[in-house]
Amino acid sequence: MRRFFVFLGCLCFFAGAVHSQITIAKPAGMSVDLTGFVTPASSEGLLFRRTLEKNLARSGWLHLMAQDASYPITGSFALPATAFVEVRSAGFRRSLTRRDGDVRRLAHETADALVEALTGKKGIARTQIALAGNRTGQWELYLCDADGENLQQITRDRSMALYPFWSPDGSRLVFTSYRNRFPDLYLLHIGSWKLEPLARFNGLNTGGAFSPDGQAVAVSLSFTGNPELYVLRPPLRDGRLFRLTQTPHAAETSPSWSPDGNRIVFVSDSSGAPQLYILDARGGERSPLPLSGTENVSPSWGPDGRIAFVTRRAGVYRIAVYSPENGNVQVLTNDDANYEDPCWAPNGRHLACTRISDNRMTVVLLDTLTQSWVRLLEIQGEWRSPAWSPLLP
Amino acid sequence: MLKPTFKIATLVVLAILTASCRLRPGKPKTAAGTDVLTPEEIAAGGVYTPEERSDIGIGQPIRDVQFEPVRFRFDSAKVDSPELTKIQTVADYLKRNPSYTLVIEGHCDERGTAAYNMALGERRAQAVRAELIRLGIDAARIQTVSYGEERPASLGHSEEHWRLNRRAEFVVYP
Repeated sequence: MRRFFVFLGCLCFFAGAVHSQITIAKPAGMSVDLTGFVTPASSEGLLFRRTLEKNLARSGWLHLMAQDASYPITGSFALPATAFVEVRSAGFRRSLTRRDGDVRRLAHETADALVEALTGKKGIARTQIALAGNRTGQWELYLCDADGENLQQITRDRSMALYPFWSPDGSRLVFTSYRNRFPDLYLLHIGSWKLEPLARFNGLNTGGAFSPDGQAVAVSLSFTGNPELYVLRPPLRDGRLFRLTQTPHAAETSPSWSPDGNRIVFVSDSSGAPQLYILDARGGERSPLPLSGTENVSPSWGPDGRIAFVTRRAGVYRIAVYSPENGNVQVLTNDDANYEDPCWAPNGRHLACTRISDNRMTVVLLDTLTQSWVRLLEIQGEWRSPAWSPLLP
Repeated sequence: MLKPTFKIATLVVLAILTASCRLRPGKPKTAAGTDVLTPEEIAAGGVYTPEERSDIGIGQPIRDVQFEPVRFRFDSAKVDSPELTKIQTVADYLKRNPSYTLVIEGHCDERGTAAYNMALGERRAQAVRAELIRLGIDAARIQTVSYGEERPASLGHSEEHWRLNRRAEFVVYP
């Protein structure tokens, strides 16, 4: 228990400090040892073990050790898809079964159960990431598990599909596609892959972001001759629009809702440079976020109220996090690479973002506590504009 | 940033008026006959039902006519006066061919984030569209499309390439 409080102290230190450079932090926190966990030497057994290990490590809360770990894990995996896990030193035991025989998902559930039991934190193993990739020569949407496995292509627009955004129940994506020559907004139903047009007015239709209750979608449209923010209210397909901004000389883009759904943070260049503003989701006056930096763009309002965004510092686009309650800004990246499109994981700790280095784009998962990052995919092609799903059933 | 000069203000009012003509009847009456809703109107539940995009720009373009792209300064959507003659040429062509329609494609250089450049490219295309409307071309004949920084004309990472990539291109349809 004492160890746990020391660990908490370390976390507070990490959370409070403004780091001047990216540090690949020493594994912080708790160690687990899986050598006492038995998996059959079948392909399913190996898949389960590999998936479990990767997801425990990617949780950010636990790291694997072969001995002297704080938490030795025992138990076994059995076909078709049952796992029994026990952590005696934590008084934890659980049996998990997937009737559909999905070994990968069983491993995700096991990893999240262990993370939650040992740390009290929600895991992210049961999430997916939607993103755009250009390995076919065009930007199409793809879907993969948060551990980077199980990649599948989900659009075949053969034009350009970008900026996916999840509905809060994980059933749909809203995204921008040029499949009908012009940038329009579509809804894609996960599983049935049914495609539904959402906004295809004159000009630009982009920036789709579901409200936290899933009932409305904030969008950026230019049918009046200039990009402005609107909210699409249900029924979404009838194109009922509520206008939020009116700036004939500036563009308003990239809306993101507050967790309570009452406010929207967005980008406007009405001051002469793109900066972040907040307004009431029912309309009204905007107020600027008090940020330094010549450009601040791509806001993502996280589940714990913090706003991740991209800030231009010394000519480089970096990821930063703004805390509304105290006005603190923490810049999380400090290398030569440019970062775009940050998007929170449902745990409020990790961010998925586009990383551009040597003019090549890839998607990385950034840990806001340790400020370290890992590539999402080790697959040929460029990757960008990630969207992190909610916890999926 | 654009200084809201009288001329530009006129263009914008024109553009807004034209845009509002494309709105279906039945939208709530708003101040001064424009399509701008006040926060009070939004709070009261003001609803837009703009028409969906027309079918301009679908199908095969006319390939034997090419127009000079309109160039822009860095991070600007303002049409500089030396560029106006290029737009006049397009307006004259459209007047001689009254059944033809036009798509204006707005593009940016790679600097700035991709999402921001998507909006900037649209503003460039819209600025050129407003100029064509001022020259007497029916707004209903023109569509805009922004490609942001996604379709550079010149593949390189220095100003000589960037200046070629900041542009609005014209594509004519029969």
